[in-house]
This record gives sequence, C-alpha cells and structure tokens, in this order.
Amino acid sequence: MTQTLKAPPRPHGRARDMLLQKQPHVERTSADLWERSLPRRRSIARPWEGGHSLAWLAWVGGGLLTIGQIDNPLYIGLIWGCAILVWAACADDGPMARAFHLLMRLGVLIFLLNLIFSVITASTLRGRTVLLTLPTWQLPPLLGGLQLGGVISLEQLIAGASRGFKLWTLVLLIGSFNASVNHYRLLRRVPRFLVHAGLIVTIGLAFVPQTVLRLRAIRDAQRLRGHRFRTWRDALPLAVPLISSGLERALTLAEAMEARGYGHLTVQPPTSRWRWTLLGGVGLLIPGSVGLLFFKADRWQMWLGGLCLISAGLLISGSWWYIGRHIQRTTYLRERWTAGACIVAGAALGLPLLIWLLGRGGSSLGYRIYPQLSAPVFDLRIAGCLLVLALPALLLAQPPNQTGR
Amino acid sequence: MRAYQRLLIILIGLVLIIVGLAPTHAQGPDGRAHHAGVVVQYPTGEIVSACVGFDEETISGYDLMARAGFDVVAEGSNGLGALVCSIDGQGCDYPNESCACRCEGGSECDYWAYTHLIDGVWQYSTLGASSYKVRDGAVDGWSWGGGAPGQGSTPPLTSWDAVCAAQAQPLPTAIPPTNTLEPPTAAPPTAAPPTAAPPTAAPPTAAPPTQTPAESQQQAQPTRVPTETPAESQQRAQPTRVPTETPAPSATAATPSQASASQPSARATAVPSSPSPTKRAAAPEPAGSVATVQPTRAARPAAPPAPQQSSGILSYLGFGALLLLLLGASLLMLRRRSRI
Repeated sequence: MTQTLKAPPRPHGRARDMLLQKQPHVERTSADLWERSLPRRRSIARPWEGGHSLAWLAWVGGGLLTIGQIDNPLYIGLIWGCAILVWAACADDGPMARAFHLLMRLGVLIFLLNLIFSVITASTLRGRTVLLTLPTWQLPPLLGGLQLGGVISLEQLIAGASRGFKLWTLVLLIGSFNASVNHYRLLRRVPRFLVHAGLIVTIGLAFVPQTVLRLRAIRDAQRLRGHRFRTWRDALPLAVPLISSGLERALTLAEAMEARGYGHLTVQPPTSRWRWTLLGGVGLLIPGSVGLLFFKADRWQMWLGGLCLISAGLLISGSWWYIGRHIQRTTYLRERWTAGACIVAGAALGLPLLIWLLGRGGSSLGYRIYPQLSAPVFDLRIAGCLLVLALPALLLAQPPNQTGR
Repeated sequence: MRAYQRLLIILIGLVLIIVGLAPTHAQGPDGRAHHAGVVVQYPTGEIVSACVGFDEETISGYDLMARAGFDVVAEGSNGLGALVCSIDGQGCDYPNESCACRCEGGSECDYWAYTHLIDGVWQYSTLGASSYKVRDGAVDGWSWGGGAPGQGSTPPLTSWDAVCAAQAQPLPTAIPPTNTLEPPTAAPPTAAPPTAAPPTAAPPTAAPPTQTPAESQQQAQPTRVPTETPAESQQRAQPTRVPTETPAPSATAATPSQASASQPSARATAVPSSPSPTKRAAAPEPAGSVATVQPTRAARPAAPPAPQQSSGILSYLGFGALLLLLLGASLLMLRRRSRI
C-alpha cells in the first residue's frame, strides 16, 4: 500500500522510457526526473526530414529571380545542371516527387514548341543567316491576319531555342523544388489568417495519393471481372466506386477531425467592423490602380491613386493581422533551422542581388542574337556564382548513413 | 488506305516546299504593280526615304522596311504586332536591353514611333508594324522620339510623289534591257539641280566624277548586299533609296555596273528623274530638315558593330567542365540513392 503510494508518476510513456535507455528506475521526485530527462531529450537523433521549408523557398525564389535576369544560354545551362543535381540529391520518394518526370516532359515540350513557333511565325524577326525559305501563308483576318512561314534564319531558330531552354530551366527548378520540399511543412508556412485554406489543402494533398492507389485497385478489380476499358463510357464502373469510397472516407475524416477538436479552433469570427475594413481596402485598390496606370506622372490623379493604394494596403494588412491574431497554432515537431539551411538560404537570396550588381557593373548577362549570330560570352566568375544554386545537394540532402524520413 | 493518305500528305508537303523554294521570276524592269514609300527619321535628325515596289495587294509595314533594306530589329512577342526596337542599329539594343529601353520610367519617352501619311498629314499608327497593311500609294513614317495618337514626333511632311515618283513611273519602252552596262549619262546632270544640294550636307559620294563605277558601287551599297540571299532578292522588289532632295549622281553611276542580269533595269528606273523640287517646295516643311537629307546609304553611319566581347576557348572549356561536373555528380547521387 505504501509502496504504491510512493511510486512516482511517470512523466512519459513506457515507450519513451525505453527510447531514452534509462537507468533502472530509482525513486526520485518527479521534478528530479524531469530535469534529468531534459538534456537527454536533445540527444535523440531525429530522422532526416528534408531541409527547412523556408530554406527551400529561398532557394527556389533566388533561382527564379536569377533566371529572370539572365538570357545567356550557357549560364542558363549551368542553372539547369544545378537543378538536376539538386533533384538527384535531395528528392524524396513520395508521390509528389514523382511529378518531376512530368515536369521534365513539360519542359521538353515547351522547348520544342518554342522552336517550332519560332519557325512558323517567322515573318517579323529576321536574322542575316538565312537557312531556307518556307512557303508563306497568310491567315485570314478573322484569325488575326498573321503571316506563317517565310524566310527561316538561323538566328530565329537559335532565339527560339534559347527562349525555350530558359522556360525549360524555370520548369525544372520548380520541379526539383517540388520534389525536395516537404509539402506539409511548407503548408504550415502560410499566413495565419489563411489557416482554414491551408488545412483544406493539406487534407487534399493527403487524399491525392490515396485516391490514385484506390483508382488502381478498382481498375484491377474490374479487369479481373472481365471489364475492358476502351472508351470514356467504360469509365462509369470506375468512377462510381471511386466517388462513393471517396465520400465515405471524407465523412470518416470529418468525424475524426471533429472528435479531435479541429472544428473548434480558437477563431473568433471577425467583427463586422474589421470585415468592412477589409472590404474598404479591396475597394480602394481599384481607384488606386486606375490612377496609377492611366494618368501621367506629376498629375494629381496619379498622386491620389498612389495614396489610395497605400491606404488600401494598410487596411487590408491590418484586417488580416487582426484576423490572424486570434488564431493559435500548435506544433508537434518544430522544423530545425540548421546551419546548412542558413547557408543555402543566404546564398540563394544573395545570388540574384550579386548577379544584378554584376550586370550593372558591365558584365554581359544577355545574349545578343539579332541581327547576326555570334558565340555567347562565358565568364567564369559569373559561372562560379551560379554554382551556388547547387548547394542544397551538399547541405540539405540526406546524409548517406541515414535512411528514410 | 491510310498509307495512301499519308503518302499523299507527304507528297503535297513536298510540292508546297518545292513551290516555296522555287524562285519566282521578277516581272521585268521594275514592273511592280504597287509602290509604297517609307521615310525614316533617325535620332540624329537625319532623314532617309526609300520606295519599295511590290506585287502583292498589301504587305505589312515590317516587310516594307525589310524590303527597303533597313536593318530592323523588332520584338514580335506582344499581340499587337511587331514593336520595332532599332532601325539600322539606332534605338534600343534589343534583346540586350528591353525593346522600349527609354520607356521604363515614365509615360513620355523616346521610341520608334510609327506613323502613316494619310491625307497629307502624319497620323500615329494604331497597329504594329507587322499588323498594318501597306497598300499602293501609302507612305509610312518612322521617327525616333515616340508619341501618342494625335501628337508625338513625326518625320517632316512629304508626299508619295516625292518619295516614289521616280521608281513608280511607267517605264519608257525605248530602254531595252541590253543597255544596262551603259552608264546613263543622259539623265543625271540635267535632272539634279546642283544648287539644291547644300555643300555641307553633301557626302563624299556626291562628288563622284573621279570615281570608277566599281568603286562607287562599293561605296553605295556596303551593307545591303550580304543581307539578301538570291532567293530573297529575286522575290523582292529592288528597292532603290531615292534621295528625297538631292539626287546624287554617284548613285546613278553605280547602278548600271551592278545591275545583274536578273534585275536588268530596276536600278535604271531609279535614275532620279529628280523628285521634282517644285513639289517639295510646295510641301509645308521647314527648310532645316531638308539640309539634313543624305542621299546614299554609305553616307549614313553604318550599324555599330556588336559590342559583345567574345570569350576565349578556355572559358568554353570551363563551361563544359562545369556542366559535366554537375551532371556527373547528379548521376552519382542517383546511383547512390538507388543502392540505398
């Protein structure tokens, strides 16, 4: 009787005790135990969880800003290689990461389309190195009266290819970002007043791979029953069980979330005053943009428009802040802002600034094609700067001795 | 059946390509059905006009410029048609800088404004150069300085007669195509009023009597020749840049020697039956701008050479090494991950 009374309450569960590899249990006070457990708590090696989502955001943002300033296909090619390397090193095996192949194909398609359209609509830009002459064909005025065909010059082809390659690299950069980042952690980064939207997107993201798996299962089952899928009419036996099971699962999830208190976030509905504030801010956007866009500088309408835009921004952000103030989020596992994430984010954000400064300082970032083709400039200093974009492969990738997320 | 259809489609495509590649024969000595003029006012204030003959019903304003031999760099990505960035290297250095490089700050800025001469007045074009249809008798104007509908910079007022009358005149049938090698000594001395040419504006080609025809030909057409392929030049009308005010005798002296067999007398017609000074005087135009007219293309500053510095073979090797490094590293990563 006395012994059971003396037994201290365990602060953690049994599994955690085993994980901590504690000494055999000695009698201590609970406060003592708590203090002893604190330093050990940090020593548990957490599994690799990908880089910090903000570091990834900084990486992709810096990469996009850099591509936007560069036209030279050699530099673009380096960024292309960096994106491939980052994908090879950092991509996880989740279903979202498999979209990379799709994006890669999309990039190739964009590239080829640019090449083709640079040939088809050749009537306006002409270079000096003429390759061949296609028959011209004037579209009827109803379709815009464009002239198709004409003289095809090497410059047009190269210009189309260079433009397409740039777009391909953009798509590739976004693809490797998408393959590497943890989407759930990323979604936690949405501003607080968008918490409901973020929740919905999270649930949707969780549903997509399950739905794909279920679709495959249903299709296999129907095939076993002798069903053949030829036209879109045959999709009905596929769609009905899919939809019904999806609804079922949604109801289950809603019940589970309700039971865990998701519906009762500490969100106070915004008072009508703040709602009107938001509405007024949105309304002020219209005269502001009209004044700024359609009137010349140094007119009083333009100044009024600028004033309207500033006040609209203040009103909207104020009401968002008010709404977000009442929303509290809890976190199970905080993301760790490691030194690698720090370096990657700093380098990625510094790169466009550096490139901009180099461009202002006289380095040639563009590629002059018209009127006569010439070899693009390649400066090793700029190339060295661009290689910074490959840093996530070193710093945010999974270390070789760890497996899994 | 399907195979036949495919074969047919391929055949039709081949025929179309061959037809497109086949040179269409020029219709005699500037037997062009239609003529249109183009007047360009450069940032330096210098004015050049040209007349283009064409057989189509309409051609685009861009084609008019291209056929007149101007070195036009245009941006065609917007939906309104081509936006001209530079003419003969003057303007914005697209694509190294934006096509409207002076227009990034405010709304009033300098660019190549496109105008049409309608009812004796320059009217601001509402369409881009590749969308506007140029018909017979039209005159297009290009002026650096920008503008908006109803205002803005335009070239000095002129008329179609002043620009195109020389070329569009019906040919005197007396000129046989065989006398192309004979220098047309008859026309120029009387046609060109020597007083009309101010001595300061007279370019070196304006005093040609000591030059041989071959020399003056090289002077007269230094940059136009490489831009034209044979196929093009046969399809195109031969544009002759008629100096609007001061017909240079050298230009006429140059024409016979360079006139090839395919275009026997296109140049000969350009022998300035001088763009009648009386008509020009009738046009309400400040005399100052007249003095800036320069007759031949050689006199104008050629397009500045591309300022792009080329880089050596070593840096390209460096590029190849870097790209190989990146791709090799990614290959290594992929193999390592697949082993895990």
